[in-house]
Amino acid sequence: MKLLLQHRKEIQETEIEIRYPNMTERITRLIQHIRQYDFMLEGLKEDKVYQIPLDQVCYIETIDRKTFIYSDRNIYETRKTIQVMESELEETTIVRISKSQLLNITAVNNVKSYPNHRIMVELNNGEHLLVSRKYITNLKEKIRR
Amino acid sequence: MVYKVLKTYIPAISMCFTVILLLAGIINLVTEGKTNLFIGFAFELVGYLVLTCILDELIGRINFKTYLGHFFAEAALLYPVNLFFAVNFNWIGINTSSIILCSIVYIFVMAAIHLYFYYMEKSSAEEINRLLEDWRDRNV
Repeated sequence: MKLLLQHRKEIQETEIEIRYPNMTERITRLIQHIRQYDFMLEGLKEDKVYQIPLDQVCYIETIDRKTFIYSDRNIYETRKTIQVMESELEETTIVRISKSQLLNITAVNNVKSYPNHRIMVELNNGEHLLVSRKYITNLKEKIRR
Repeated sequence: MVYKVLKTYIPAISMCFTVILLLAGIINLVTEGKTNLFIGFAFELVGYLVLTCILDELIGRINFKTYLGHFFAEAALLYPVNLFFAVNFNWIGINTSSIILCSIVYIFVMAAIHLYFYYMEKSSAEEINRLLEDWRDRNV
């Protein structure tokens, strides 16, 4: 596979063009990966609006009817509910792991079993989250995709 | 193979055994209009198991940090229920040796169930870690 990079000052947005002889599974995955990278979430922090790339999101959580987006270093609030976020991010690497949490599987370091039929997820930043027994199959299916 | 036995055959045998026993009991009750001692015991046992499942669900709402903590709490909370059923429905005689034997069997069964789920959940976590590794290989 040839990789061509061009620095063009006149264009405003980064463009990616893929030329292929036949569509293969690897190319499909590459496209999914690029789309995932391009996905942005809108979050509020100290009354400022930020665009957060999906690959920087670790997890999304609802606390007291407020929804928060957790990245490696920052916490943003969003006006969307967790149900809306879940449905909007269905085709991405985000998966529901409990009644109040969505997890980005790109942020997962490893998992281990935990009492009461749950799974403990260790994130790349060292944080830990619990996957409820109801959502363990969801997590497996999402990773398999 | 061990995983398949634990994941498929043991639950399948347990479910079939229970359903066959209950259906035989119900057929016996409908056609003969009476329950024999064994079928009566089976119905009592199902009642006991349903009650323990309800209690297990309630105990499960406590956020236990360790498997041992969960085991000891559940074993201690369900023990009086076990003794109540055993004594009240004459599963055992009311004497020291029967109660000790019943307690040993109870602890053994509880430990076996908890070990079973511990092993299954550990296997499930290992499977997720393998899937994650494959996923990283595919996507990075």
